[in-house]
Amino acid sequence: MLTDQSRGSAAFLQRTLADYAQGYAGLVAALWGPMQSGKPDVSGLREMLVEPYRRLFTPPFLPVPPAAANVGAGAGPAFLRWQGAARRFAGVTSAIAVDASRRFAAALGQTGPDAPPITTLAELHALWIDCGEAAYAEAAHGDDFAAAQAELLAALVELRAAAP
Amino acid sequence: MSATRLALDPSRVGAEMAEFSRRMTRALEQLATIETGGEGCSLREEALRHGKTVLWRYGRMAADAGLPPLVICYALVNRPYMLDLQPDRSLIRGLLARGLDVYLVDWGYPDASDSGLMLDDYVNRQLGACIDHVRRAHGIAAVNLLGVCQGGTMSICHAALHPERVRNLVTMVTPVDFHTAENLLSKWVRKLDVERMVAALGNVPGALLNAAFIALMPLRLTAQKYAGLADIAEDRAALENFLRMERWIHDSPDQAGAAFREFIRGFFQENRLVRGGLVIGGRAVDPRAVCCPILNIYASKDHLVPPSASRPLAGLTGSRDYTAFEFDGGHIGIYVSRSAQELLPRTIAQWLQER
Repeated sequence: MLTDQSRGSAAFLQRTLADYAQGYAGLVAALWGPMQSGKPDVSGLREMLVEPYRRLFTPPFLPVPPAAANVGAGAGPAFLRWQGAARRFAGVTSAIAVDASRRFAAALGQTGPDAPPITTLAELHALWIDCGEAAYAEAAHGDDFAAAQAELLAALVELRAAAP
Repeated sequence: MSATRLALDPSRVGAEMAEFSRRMTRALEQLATIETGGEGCSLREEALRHGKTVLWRYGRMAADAGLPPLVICYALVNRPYMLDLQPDRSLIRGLLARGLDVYLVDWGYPDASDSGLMLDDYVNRQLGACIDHVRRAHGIAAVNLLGVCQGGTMSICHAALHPERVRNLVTMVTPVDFHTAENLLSKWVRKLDVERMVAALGNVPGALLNAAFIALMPLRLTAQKYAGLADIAEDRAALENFLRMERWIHDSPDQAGAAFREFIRGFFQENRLVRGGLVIGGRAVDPRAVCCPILNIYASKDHLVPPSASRPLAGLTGSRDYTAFEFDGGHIGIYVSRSAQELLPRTIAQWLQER
């Protein structure tokens, strides 16, 4: 329950690569319309890019929640705790995604010698990563993040103990 | 309409995307045909087995440098073949090439029967048995001990509890002060309810730790790394390197529950190596009891064990012969980067030679 046991297998690697290639393509898809205009409004991109960031900030050990009907009566409180913890952590990662997206839009909006034109997808992807990591690092060092993550893990452990 | 540095030409972007997709497909095809082989690339033989712990002795590759054998104590997390990944990326080969007699402590894969193992078992009994074997086999009083990452922390503890067994101590990317500002992992772990976790799980899944390590830099260690495969799609050797690394990253042994709880509480949460009051196996661990020469190697861009966590070893021990060496790289690059292959073995061998 706590982890995907297939990690490290060839099938896992294939799934992972396909997933990230799709993410790369998703960045292009989000920018495709604005690019066609010739004068893209980068501030308008922000909302479009929140979700791709949020997906990448979601911890890989976060399992798909069991359906409430499949949880035994004795595990009800543990399940509720897990739901609350997952909601809280999703709130934290969503806030980071919004901040990352804001940073990305701001970086795209910069001009001058320190902000050379971005002419390739590879450069765009590198900037996307930089902005995401900067937003994440700032939040991840904070107490709220650590507390939400610890609660999520504790709730998962309790759920496992209650419904192995 | 806002100004932007975005200067993408849609037709060029379309072509770049098509090329990216072609290369990723090619990389996937190639990866499916690559076998990464066993654990490590250098000739070795089992010198001792103690529980699941194996002491390996490596075959000599050069004229004897005339130094006491070097015992490498790896971490409990991840597998030690990172030190001998492939012929051109091997710290162990580099040391062998300089005439050192190299042993490696391999903790194996703990299972449910090991959930009660404590730090006393690892630091005193198992590492002790390995060191005693080498002392007996070579008729020497003390070995040279090289501790890697968490294995370095354990080596400091062993040297403090058994100073007569360690002639020289080398630590590599070793956490000492667990409460420095840059240590993100420690900030997270301090909030962990490790008692309940171990009570519920027994052993702690290695994959869970691995997920935590990746979560330290989730974009660089996933999206960026995997997108980078497109750049090496036609380079089979680079793809082999990638796959070996990927295999190593996900090859994470489960952690014996009791020892994990003790390590998290004593080091990460209570920082007792620095603050004092660390007890292992009922004996106080006083780092001032370590009086042998120390070489402390850390990496300037280490995201897992930041230099600030390693540097405090200076002044913490009773050693009057302390040397610090900062490697320009990260936690993984210190083993596998090109620059490390010559620099690290040379630095370690020269330092030992001078003592």
